[in-house]
Amino acid sequence: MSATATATAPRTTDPGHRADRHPQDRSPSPRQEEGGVALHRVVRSEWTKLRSLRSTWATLGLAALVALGLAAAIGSNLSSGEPDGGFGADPTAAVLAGTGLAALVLGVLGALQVSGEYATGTITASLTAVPARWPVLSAKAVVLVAVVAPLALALSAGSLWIGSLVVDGGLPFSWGAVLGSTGYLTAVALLGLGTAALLRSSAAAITVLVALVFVLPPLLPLLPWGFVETATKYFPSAAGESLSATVAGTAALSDAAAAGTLAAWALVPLLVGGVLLQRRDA
Amino acid sequence: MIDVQQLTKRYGAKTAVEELSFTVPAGQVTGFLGPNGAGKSTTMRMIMGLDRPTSGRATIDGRSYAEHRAPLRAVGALLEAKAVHPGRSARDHLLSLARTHGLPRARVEEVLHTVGLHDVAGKRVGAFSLGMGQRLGIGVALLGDPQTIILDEPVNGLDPDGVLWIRTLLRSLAAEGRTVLISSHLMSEMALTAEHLVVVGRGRLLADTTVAELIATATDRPVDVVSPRADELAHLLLVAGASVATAAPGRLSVTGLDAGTVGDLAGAHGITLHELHTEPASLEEVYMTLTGDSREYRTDTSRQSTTETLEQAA
Ligand SMILES: Nc1ncnc2c1ncn2[C@@H]1O[C@H](COP(=O)(O)OP(=O)(O)OP(=O)(O)O)[C@@H](O)[C@H]1O
Ligand SMILES: [Mg+2]
Repeated sequence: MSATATATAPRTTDPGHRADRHPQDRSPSPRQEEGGVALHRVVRSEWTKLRSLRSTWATLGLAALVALGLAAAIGSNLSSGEPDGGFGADPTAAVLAGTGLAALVLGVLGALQVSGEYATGTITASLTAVPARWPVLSAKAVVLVAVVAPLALALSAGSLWIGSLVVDGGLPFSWGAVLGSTGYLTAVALLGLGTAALLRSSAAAITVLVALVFVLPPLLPLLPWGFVETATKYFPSAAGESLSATVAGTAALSDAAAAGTLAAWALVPLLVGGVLLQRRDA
Repeated sequence: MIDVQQLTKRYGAKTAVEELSFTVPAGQVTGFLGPNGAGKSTTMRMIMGLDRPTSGRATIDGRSYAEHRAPLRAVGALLEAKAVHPGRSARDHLLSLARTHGLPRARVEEVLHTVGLHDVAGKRVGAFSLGMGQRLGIGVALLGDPQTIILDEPVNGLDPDGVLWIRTLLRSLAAEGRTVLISSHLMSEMALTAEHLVVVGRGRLLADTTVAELIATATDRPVDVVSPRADELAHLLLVAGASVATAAPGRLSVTGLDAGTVGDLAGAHGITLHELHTEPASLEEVYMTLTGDSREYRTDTSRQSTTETLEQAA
């Protein structure tokens, strides 16, 4: 490799784009406008980032395994007449509860989309390429939803299908429950993304995510204060269970309230994280 | 052209950069020098819009970095070595950045060739050596074929071949009329690559000059004289106000007078001289003298040699 040859290589790349350039005169040429940053381009960039990591595919596979495996296990447990964890009246919701753990896995995927960049220093390159910054986080959210929502739909429907095979007497297929579960999984993935945008560290973001989704909901009702019990209804998992409920009277929140709650969990951390991303030093 | 105006950055009580102003003209390589912790990286991060200045402003070709519509085409930067996800391939890393500007895939392949990573482009970056990571970082900087190139310690971790390669690359980029700013704490490296120098210490500007001018500022260099009548000459020199040290029998090291005055004095008294020359200042010495008071992190040996240099210069 000759140093001179390699050194001049960049010039040969873009013959038209700067033929008339004067070193001091950098008013944007039409070619430059064409090559500018645009949201749809940042979305493609984020898709390239997400698909190019093996861990993405491993995480998605793990989420599928966990959701479908738990659906089968819970379904057969229901059939054997074992204790049913309070879902006795609603086997559909019970089978879909298995997606709760998958939600956590998808939340971690969302979190790593941001915290992985801080941990490895990629964020510097990302924010240099897109100095407006907010398109980076928006594009991450778009790509995450585009990947997670179809998978969540397939896993929710698949869980019910597996349930219908293993539960004695089958299960009624409920679109409401499937969409509710899909919304829940997608919301937790976005919650992971937003939490990581706020906290920037993988460890911190995943800890908060596990606490919100998994640890606190069963713990809070044990506390002596009444308001805590009310608050528990508005945790993501509770809202998700309300949406998946198919038997009247088992849902703690109305569908509209539950959907609104999930949307808030998905979007509020993301918006605050976006504002901080804009303000903080990279 | 990069224009830095009254740039200041404070982290709590710590002032990393203070009222720093300088310009980096197009068409030459500008070296950005200073000891560890002088504020070079912080300044570059502010130029690139990554860190917000406490006050002051930096523009590139008249606009702040974020105001450029196609920033990668205007400015390319290497700020941290190996700042890439270890699980991603070099090709995918470049491609993800190219996508933000709609740059074609072919451009990514071209850059991989330019930086000599084409053969390993599909490998995970985690397996890269420091030098390969550095090459990838330079590839990122070149991706948009930018008018301005900013590299923070680009030769770090490169082998001699790599150092030569980057020196040639930077010179040819500057020769094409581009603006090139590179930081280093090694004066010896800068002397070989840069024409223009911006020297900082503790966040403040110490010198904004050319390599040649900087050497010329080293006044009061010791004059080396060899004479068979050295003792006699030493006496005359002392009377004339110089300070004289006997370096070896018959060899004097004279400070406080220039070589011409020493020669004239000897001639006036009929003293033959066998040798008369001024010790040329090494750029490294000038640099150490310049930054001597502003070194924040130094070992005892570096402090000692700095003091020696200062004494010699005094
Ligand atoms: N995020 C930060 N928070 C607090 N202090 C900081 C931060 N970044 C830099 N500093 C301080 O600012 C000063 C300048 O640091 P900077 O990294 O810009 O120096 P440098 O010239 O690049 O040094 P080096 O040659 O070691 O790379 C240092 O004293 C450093 O400790
Ligand atoms: Mg530095």
